[in-house]
Amino acid sequence: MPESSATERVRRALLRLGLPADYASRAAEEAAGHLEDLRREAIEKGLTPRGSEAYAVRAFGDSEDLAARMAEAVKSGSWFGRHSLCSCFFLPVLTLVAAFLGAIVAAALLGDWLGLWAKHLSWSRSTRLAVWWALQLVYCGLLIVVPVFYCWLARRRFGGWKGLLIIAGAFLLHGIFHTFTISAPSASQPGSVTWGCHTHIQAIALLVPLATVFLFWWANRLKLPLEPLQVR
Amino acid sequence: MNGSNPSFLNGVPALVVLKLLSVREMYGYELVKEIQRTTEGAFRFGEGSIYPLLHYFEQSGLVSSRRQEINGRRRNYYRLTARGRKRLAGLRGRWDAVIRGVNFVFRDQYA
Repeated sequence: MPESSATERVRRALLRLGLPADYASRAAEEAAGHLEDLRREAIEKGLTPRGSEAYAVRAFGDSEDLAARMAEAVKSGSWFGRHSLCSCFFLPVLTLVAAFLGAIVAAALLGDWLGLWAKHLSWSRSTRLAVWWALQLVYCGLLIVVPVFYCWLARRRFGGWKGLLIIAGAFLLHGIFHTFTISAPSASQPGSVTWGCHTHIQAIALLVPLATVFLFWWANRLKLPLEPLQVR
Repeated sequence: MNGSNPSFLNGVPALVVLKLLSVREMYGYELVKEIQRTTEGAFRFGEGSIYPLLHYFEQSGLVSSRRQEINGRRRNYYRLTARGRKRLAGLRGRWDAVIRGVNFVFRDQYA
């Protein structure tokens, strides 16, 4: 197997494992440099160019195994990777809840400081609707930002697709069982935010994590060459 | 180490690599050759396997890397961080304790 194949195998294996393209390219570049050094070393020892390539590949070791160990190294090198159940399953949903509650508390404090709540009974219907829309936007924004952020982090720190799929699963469960419901104001009530278990499914909470995983997968797929992987 | 029990060697590659990087910054190939030279060939491994270890150290903040181009070839140089020095001191302390214990077992009364 020529050196370039060994280098390319490292890059492709890392991409298939779900690591970011820049990391895969850097690892492949390091592998290429190392193989070139080994090849020069072999030529200095008197091997032929063909023999030196074979020597370099043999001394460097198996590319697929190396890529798997690199992915494991990325994962075990961070707290998030070592505690993947916590960081992929519990933390993303907790972050969403904390961020949304934090946003409501911040809005409440700001409104209190501006004196908005003292005159809320005199708010027009359009003002109440604007507040309702703002809450909806913040919630939907967080439903998009939080899974995307954790999926990005999972690729960088948790070393692969498994983390992304667990995150998607956590948000799917959140979307099915655990939601905030923001009720629009009407003539009889001023509108409300309730938090808990609901029977209706939040489509955005289901679709965003799945779409995020798909997009990351697709981005990695674009970096892979079209020809099938050679099996040794 | 050729033909040795891997669990017995747990932590030894980390100790060796951190120690060598504490002397000066090195790139992967250079580091492998330095390991082979200083251990007189006691360690035998696929040379590529140095990179998972280096990347693990980098993710853990034990080493930092910088890219440098020399004679048209780009190299990633790794150097020990303050955190890495602390880890090295801890590993060294544990290793010394192991050596003392093993030496005690092999003293005259058990020879």
